[in-house]
Amino acid sequence: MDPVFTVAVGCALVVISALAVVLLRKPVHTALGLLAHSLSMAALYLMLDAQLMAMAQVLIYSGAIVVLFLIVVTLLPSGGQEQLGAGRLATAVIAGGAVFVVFMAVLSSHLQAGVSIPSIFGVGPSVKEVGAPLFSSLLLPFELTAPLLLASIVTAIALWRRQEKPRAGGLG
Amino acid sequence: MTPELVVVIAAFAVFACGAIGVIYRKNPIAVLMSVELMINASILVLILGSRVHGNAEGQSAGLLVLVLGAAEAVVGLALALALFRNEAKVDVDDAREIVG
Repeated sequence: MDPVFTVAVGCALVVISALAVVLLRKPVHTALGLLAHSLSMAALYLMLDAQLMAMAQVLIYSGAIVVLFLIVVTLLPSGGQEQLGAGRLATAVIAGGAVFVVFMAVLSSHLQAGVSIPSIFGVGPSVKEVGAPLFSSLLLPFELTAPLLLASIVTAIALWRRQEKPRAGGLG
Repeated sequence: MTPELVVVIAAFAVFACGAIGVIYRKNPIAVLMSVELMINASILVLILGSRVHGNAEGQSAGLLVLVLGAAEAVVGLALALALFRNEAKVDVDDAREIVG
């Protein structure tokens, strides 16, 4: 099958599910849209010969982050409707359209200047090749993810605990 | 039109969708999900660059950005829960404080 066709189908799924995330009103529907987006993104990674990233996307993103979103949605108080007006949508579409137009302008100016995006078909990098830069050129960012995750955990707990009412006889 | 060009344009479109969502939505959870869309678009461009240049380093950087997205989701959801704690309002624009 034509590689452009398969990639275009994957890209269409990615963009449609992204639109679903933005436009669906109910939080549960939005979370399911994000799940569809994440899975179609993983399919696109597979088409780009990035098998490790596809697995990471399914396990970390679909498996952990989207489920975290769903849990938070269930914790939210029910009722309440977003008041989203047409003027607000128009503003958002103008701003998003401007972002898209600027990106496309940069891309087309590069293409016209003779910069080409080559097509490389073949086997993607192995897990070993993907992991090696994490211990050489990308060592510092890789090490910094540990304090980043620790800081986010501490922040989440601190945000929650400071609002907890002190219990009688308890430590908190 | 090469597959790579299609992917770049799709990544632009997803990033623009995320930007639209951040401005349009009022529910903090939906705003966070829109930010996640933008992060996903950037990861897609990183992976495409890794493939185009035949360099695995782009994928390694994509993994790091994935971790960044997870950390952002954790802090953002904690903030959203703190916001929703006392009253059932669903508007980030009205929020002035998170301590009840």
